[in-house]
Amino acid sequence: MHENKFEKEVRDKMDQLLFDPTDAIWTGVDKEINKEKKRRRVLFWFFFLIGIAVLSGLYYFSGSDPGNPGEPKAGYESFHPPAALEKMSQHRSQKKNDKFKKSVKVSVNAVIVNDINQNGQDRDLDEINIQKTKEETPAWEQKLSDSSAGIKSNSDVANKNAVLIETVAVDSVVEKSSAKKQDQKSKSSSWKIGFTGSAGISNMNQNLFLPSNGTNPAYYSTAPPPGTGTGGVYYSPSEISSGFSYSLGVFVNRYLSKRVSFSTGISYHYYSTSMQTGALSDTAVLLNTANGRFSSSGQIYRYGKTNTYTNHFHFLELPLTFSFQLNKSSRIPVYWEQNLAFSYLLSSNALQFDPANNVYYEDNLLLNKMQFSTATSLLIGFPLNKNEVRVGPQFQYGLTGLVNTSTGNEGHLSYFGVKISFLLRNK
Amino acid sequence: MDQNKLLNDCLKGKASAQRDLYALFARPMLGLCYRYTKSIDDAEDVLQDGFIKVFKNLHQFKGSGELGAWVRRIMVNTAINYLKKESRYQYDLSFSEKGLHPVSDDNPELKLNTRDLADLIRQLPTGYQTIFNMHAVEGYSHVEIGKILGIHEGTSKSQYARARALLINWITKNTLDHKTGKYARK
Repeated sequence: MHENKFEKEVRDKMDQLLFDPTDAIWTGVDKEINKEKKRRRVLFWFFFLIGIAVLSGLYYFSGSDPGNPGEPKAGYESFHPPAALEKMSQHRSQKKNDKFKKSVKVSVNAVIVNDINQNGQDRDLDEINIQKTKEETPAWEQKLSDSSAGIKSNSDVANKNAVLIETVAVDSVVEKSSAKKQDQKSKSSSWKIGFTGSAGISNMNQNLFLPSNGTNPAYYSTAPPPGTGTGGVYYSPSEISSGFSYSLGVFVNRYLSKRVSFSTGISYHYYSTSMQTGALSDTAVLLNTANGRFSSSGQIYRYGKTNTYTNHFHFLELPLTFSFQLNKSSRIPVYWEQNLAFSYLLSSNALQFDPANNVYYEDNLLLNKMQFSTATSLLIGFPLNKNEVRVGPQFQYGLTGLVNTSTGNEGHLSYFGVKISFLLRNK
Repeated sequence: MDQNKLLNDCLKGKASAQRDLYALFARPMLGLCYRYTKSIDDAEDVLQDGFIKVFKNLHQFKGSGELGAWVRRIMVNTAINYLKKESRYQYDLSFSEKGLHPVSDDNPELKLNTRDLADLIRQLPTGYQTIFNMHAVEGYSHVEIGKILGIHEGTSKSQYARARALLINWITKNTLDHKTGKYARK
């Protein structure tokens, strides 16, 4: 056919149309396609080095801690002959003496006994695809079309099938890629809301590398006050055992780039630990508290192992979280999350230990209510009804000491468990 | 070069493979971009944008079809987006329909060389140029063109008929201005 011959000749000639592009084009392409990779690499190393610095700092400071397990305390005895008790009371009577005050700060142990302790084709390409058509077409054009003999489409051309197959195949790819791209666009350009929860065990740590429970009883006791010699008598409190912990929260998430996102929100976190105590007593006792002051308590727990006491800690947390997608898979993405959280202690029933009186008592004034903690998680993402669920292990460590003590034995809350985040898709 | 290996290497982020893929398609794709635009600078802009899209979406190419056809499709879409975005093309790209143009049966013999024919096509108003390229060269149907450009199928047919008639008129009258290297409309 005449017209097809013309089109075929045009097509054959145009297929031979070649130009040599300038080098600047490839430079621009290369810069653009590797920009994200370079930025991601920089971000990764930035946070990696920060992490190393934080861990090194923690290790350094924990290594210089006077309560470290490798450093025996002179004059300390974990149990007490009656004669030593007399020396103790003598010291108590000299409470106005500066030397004594200083010694109390050094010696009274802040033992907290318990602790206590988530287009080819970019949008432009999508725009060209498909949706507009008829509603934008005037009625007269429709008539025009119907009455038009038109020029026969290339479907009459001998190679029509090949062209159509190519077109359909490419269309399919283009449409799918457009949809995904649009997802990524919306992913990167808008805030998404989500819910998070976790459950696991919590404990009280002496430092990041040293759990408190039972490995170092001396940690809970203090060196005797100066002047008491080697006969100072102090008690060791109960070992602390881990307890149940969980958290519930809501957050908003925004993608900073294709694989890096940021989220913040608010959550409630419950921690618990358990310990052994003696019987509850209503006897009034003048207490030597962990921060060097004296107070009286109407209710105390005697030393002993007859009772299991659970320390509860209720926190409100404001986390700032950075999430890095470690792989390229869109089906099963793997994320590494690192967060820093500010938290506020709402309430607690934690017991403190007075090694001089050999009793446990409750005194929330000793607790630092403002806390900072850091958490790291490795999460796997799953699609769920067009939303995304991320599940994986999480470790959290309290950077701030829980007890306001002058001895350095502050105690840090730690948590290990499974985290679940539910990220809602934007409507 | 094995297409699958080239693809896999590109997906792994190997710079040499990315450069090879670019080198494989850059010359014909610049020819394509040249046909859709009015200047070589614009053509190079389209080529760069197009290749950025190719590499960023390469993981979505399933390998069932020809990579070349996929890249070509992206370039066409990129060129059309470019024409829509650039203000100097927008007026010329409006697809008003003043009436049905009779279908020509002319079938002139193409004695023009490739470059001259391409330059002749680029002398067409942008709307005609776009539809002529999409239909005559890329092989899109008028239904597809209508969907992509957001116009009615009949409009595409009519515009194509006008473009084709104009082009044939220029070719038969041989109105190439050898001083400027351009065809003049008479």
